[in-house]
Amino acid sequence: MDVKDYISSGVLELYAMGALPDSEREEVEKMCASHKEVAEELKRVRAALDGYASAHSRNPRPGVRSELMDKIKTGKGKVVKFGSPYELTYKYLIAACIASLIISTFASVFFYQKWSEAEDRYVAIVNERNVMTQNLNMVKYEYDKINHDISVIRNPAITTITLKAADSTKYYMAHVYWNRYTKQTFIDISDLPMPAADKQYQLWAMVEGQPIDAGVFEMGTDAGMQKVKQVMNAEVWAVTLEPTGGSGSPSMDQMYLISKS
Amino acid sequence: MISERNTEGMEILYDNYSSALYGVINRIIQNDEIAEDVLQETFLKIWNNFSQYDAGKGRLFTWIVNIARNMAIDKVRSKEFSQNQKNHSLSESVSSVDFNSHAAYNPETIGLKEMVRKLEPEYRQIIDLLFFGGYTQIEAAEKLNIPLGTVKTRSRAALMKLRVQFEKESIL
Repeated sequence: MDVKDYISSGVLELYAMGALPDSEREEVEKMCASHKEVAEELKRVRAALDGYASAHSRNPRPGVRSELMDKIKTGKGKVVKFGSPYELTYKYLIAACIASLIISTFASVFFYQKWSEAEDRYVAIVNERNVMTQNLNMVKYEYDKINHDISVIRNPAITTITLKAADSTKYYMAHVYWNRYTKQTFIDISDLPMPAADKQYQLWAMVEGQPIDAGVFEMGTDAGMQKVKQVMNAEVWAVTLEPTGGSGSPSMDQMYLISKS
Repeated sequence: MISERNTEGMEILYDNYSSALYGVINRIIQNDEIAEDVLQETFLKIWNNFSQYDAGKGRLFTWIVNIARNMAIDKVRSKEFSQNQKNHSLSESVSSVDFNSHAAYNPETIGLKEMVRKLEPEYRQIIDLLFFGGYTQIEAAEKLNIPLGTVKTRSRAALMKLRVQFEKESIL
């Protein structure tokens, strides 16, 4: 392009007024560097614009000068080094947002792990507690039972009768506890063989030579002291093996225990 | 002087250019209070970036006027500003400059003001849009509803007119 045409096109004026896109701006700068006349012309355009700008001169409030000089002397002015202060504020805000996002993400992972650990420990402790509660209930049940048995035995109205094996070659043994006021009767087996499934042991009280049914009782390690039927007054106590549910009269050949009165 | 961060140099710079810069800023922002803030920000920017000034590329005045102009335009375009100044955009107030009120009675600028006042309205309008309004040539063409080429030729004509007058009066 002819330099004169270039100068008169108006592109230098637009350049000086900052109205050109970057690509065209570079071109103007190249032209100025390579053509002295273009650079000279730009200088004069700029001078005219400077004059135009000056034509709008107004005096700022006198206090502005001292405010500004204070800022410069105290170093506050350094804050506005790049871009406008608002741009800077946004940059800081965005940086702060990203930073807090990263921190909160790490914090989330960290606290999730802590929470999972705590949850696992909590479940373990709850399970342990359930087991302990069961154990305690069992112990309490047994304690109550034993306490009751002891209270029965300790009662001064109780008479204790020892029953031994009718067959002297065996070592079977049981005790009968009889309350002479209430007539309540309990049996506590020390040693007896387990009966067949269709059989049950039955206690008999011999009153005036007649066998009185004192009831059937259970066998087993945790059977303990068992309450049987109330009996008036017995001279002799005996245990026979009868069909399940008991019999009306004892099977004498099936006598396992008898008291020596 | 100022490049050595001498505050005295800054005072001299302020005394010489504050009214010209304040005039430009106020012309763009049209609010005394905000214009004062931008004026201070402009001088702080000059203070902090003085090392970037290249005397070989142009006059100091051109450099600082452009800083002031850009900061004022950025301010006008900021969200904060548009929220406060909804009914007062520059495009509407372009070519409505009052050269008499609050003017700096500086004998050096009285002649300039007179010449700018004599400039044809369409010439003032194109310079105000591009130089003070921060419009690109395309935006200006759309705003004025004229072809892109006319923006160029009218800009050229407007500044030629100014130059002829300025040079005739040997003000510059």
